[in-house]
Amino acid sequence: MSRAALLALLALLSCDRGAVDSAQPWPEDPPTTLVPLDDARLLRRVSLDLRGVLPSLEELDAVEADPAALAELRDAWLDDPRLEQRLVHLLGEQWHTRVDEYLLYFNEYRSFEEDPRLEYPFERAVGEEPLRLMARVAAEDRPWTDIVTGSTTMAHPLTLEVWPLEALEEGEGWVEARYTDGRPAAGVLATNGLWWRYFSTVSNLNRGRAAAVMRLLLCEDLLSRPISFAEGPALVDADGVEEALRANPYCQGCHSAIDPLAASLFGFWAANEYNIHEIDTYHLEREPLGTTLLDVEPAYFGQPVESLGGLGQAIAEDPRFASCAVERAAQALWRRPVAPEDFDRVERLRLGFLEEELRFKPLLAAITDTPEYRAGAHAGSDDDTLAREATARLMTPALLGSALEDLSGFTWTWEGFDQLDNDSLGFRVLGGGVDGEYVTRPQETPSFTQLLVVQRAAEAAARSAVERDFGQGPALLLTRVDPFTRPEDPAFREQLIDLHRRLYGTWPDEARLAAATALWTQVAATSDNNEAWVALLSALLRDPEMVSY
Amino acid sequence: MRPLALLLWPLVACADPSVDGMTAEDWSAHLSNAAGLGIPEPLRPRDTLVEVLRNGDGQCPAGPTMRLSYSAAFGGCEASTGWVFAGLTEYTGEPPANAPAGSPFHLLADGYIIDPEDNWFILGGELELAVSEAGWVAEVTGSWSYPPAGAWMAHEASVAVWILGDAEGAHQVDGGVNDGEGDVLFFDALTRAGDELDGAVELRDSDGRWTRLDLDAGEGACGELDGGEALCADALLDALDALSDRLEGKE
Repeated sequence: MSRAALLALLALLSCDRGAVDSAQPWPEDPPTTLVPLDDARLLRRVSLDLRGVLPSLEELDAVEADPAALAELRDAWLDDPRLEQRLVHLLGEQWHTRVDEYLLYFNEYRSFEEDPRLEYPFERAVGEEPLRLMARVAAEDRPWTDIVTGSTTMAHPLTLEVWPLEALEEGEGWVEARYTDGRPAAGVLATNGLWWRYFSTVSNLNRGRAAAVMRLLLCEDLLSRPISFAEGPALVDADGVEEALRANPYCQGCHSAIDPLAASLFGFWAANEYNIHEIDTYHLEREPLGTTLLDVEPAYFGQPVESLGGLGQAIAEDPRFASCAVERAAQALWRRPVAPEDFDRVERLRLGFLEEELRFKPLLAAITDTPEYRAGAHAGSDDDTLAREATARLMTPALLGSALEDLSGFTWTWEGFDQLDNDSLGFRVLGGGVDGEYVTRPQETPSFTQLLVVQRAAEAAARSAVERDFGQGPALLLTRVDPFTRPEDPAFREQLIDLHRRLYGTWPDEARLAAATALWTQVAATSDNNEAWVALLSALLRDPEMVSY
Repeated sequence: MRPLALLLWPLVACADPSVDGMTAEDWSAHLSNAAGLGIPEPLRPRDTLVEVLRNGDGQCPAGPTMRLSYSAAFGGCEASTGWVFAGLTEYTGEPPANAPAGSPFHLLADGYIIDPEDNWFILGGELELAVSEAGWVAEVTGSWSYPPAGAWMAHEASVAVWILGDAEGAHQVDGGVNDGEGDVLFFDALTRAGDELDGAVELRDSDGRWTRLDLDAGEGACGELDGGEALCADALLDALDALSDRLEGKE
């Protein structure tokens, strides 16, 4: 072997820090007492998770005819354009950037001040920036490390208008873009959206942001560690606290990692965190300020980093980064926190993720193959498992919204606000969702307010569906009947069967068909056929079989 | 790709980016440009604001320190003079018109003012001049720019600078300046005593690399650039002269 070839090989090996060690045995697939969903209900779960919509009757037919079609459909849906939107919501549940308020209001931008309908889209344009960036990396099958090393971001037309951004592609909605203020390439770490949500103050000196980086990207939650203040100064003694953070061993336990990391974030340190010019621009001249104000050099767990870009590179090379990505993806699709008992399963997923060169789509596919994802019931009586496992998942308000829109064309908005996706003028938290500030995990079981939100959404979607399907069309739900069809017509029964399969993924039994027919007949007797369909659809759309999956 | 290039590609791809900074020539040119705009200090934006507020009409803005109502703070108001005022300021200290040179003050600001020629005065941050027996501390942090104000405020400047002056006339400058024209400086305990400079000055290039000039007291305004090249920063002495004249009321 020539010297050049040997050098190249050594370089390749030393670069490839995330590669799978082939000598390392894969852990045993752990035994499980979980009973999987039947194929049709599983298809429904996968479709909702990856596309945000229910499977079509043709897709259900395909899986019933051949169960192997499920994997084929799943793989095709991983390339569906709607995957990006779903990932925005799934990642948003954990990154908490889709909040309704930031430190400044949309109308502080002069060009927005005249139009109050821009409030909601502007809030989402800010908070979804890092989520859209990650979703795009996943959708384009790029290595997940791009989320902390990439030089581009995703921009909404509103942020393109007022932030220092240039679009890199044509398009009406979100487009790939680049900041023009000279900020380093560091993926989500270089997005305004992340730091508007995780803001710092003059005295906090980016430490809270550093803790957020560790939690979001490494799954190291410093706030979960026990903290003793017994040996420390009074918290009102600002100078004493600063000194303790540098010298007190109790404080140093966390701050030896936090402060050097915080020192690399000073391009985002605002002199006035309420000022648009201060927080929408990266401040090149403040990059070295962290060393001055925190009295430490920028570093990542002892490894010096030169800049924000260096921080992104260091995170990408940290083995915890890949582990954390796997853990978060599993949590998103299992609809529950990952527990120590899941170690073997998560480790298998991690090794597969590394083998697939940190591409997110194969990871999502692998998670949908796990027993925890497919769980529909328990065969055993292990109390811990019973308590932990989510065998039935509750639709989030966002998921309900996208499914209803696909079924009926209905979107629930008021004054420009999506009613299932905000809390300023909507019902996101009441419906079981995450506001990213006070409610940080989606609701796992039904509640009174959630039922009310579902009921109202179902009623409105039902009316929208009937008006559309019996009006201008094209018919989306009521495809076998017209306004004159009666229960004695064969098409009526066929329509009820289609509705049950489409909405629930199951074939209805005779009792359910009879109950649906009775409801329709009762309403038709006091009103008309259209109202009868509205009432029946409204009941079907808010059925527990519909809003769980 | 040729075989050798193919073999060497992983080596290149894995290597750290070049650590070469600016050449001494580039460095001097950038420093001269930046120093020519002056080292930011709090009096220029404070005095500009006071001057500009005279263009209100009594109703807009409602008070001498642009203390607007909550709603007007964000949407702003347009005075009958054609000037637009939006935001909030909080000023403590003697009114500038009555105050002797070097009087302490503190100003917090968040807003913008637009003149009839569509020049934007961007104000977002903090200005302070604090005085004690030991000397004074001047601070200018944030985004401060207004083209008619000239000097370092002429472009979209972003700054975070602290200046300490002692009773013997020595100065220390810390912090950074982005003059909005492509020159980004950082002063690391840049100290001036007489014609001697100590501390360091760093310049950021467009690739994000900082090149540092370490200055040694006893060498005048000269020092050593990253990489070992000797370099003199006389432009800084002129800028520091102007700075101290302004802060001490000699200008």
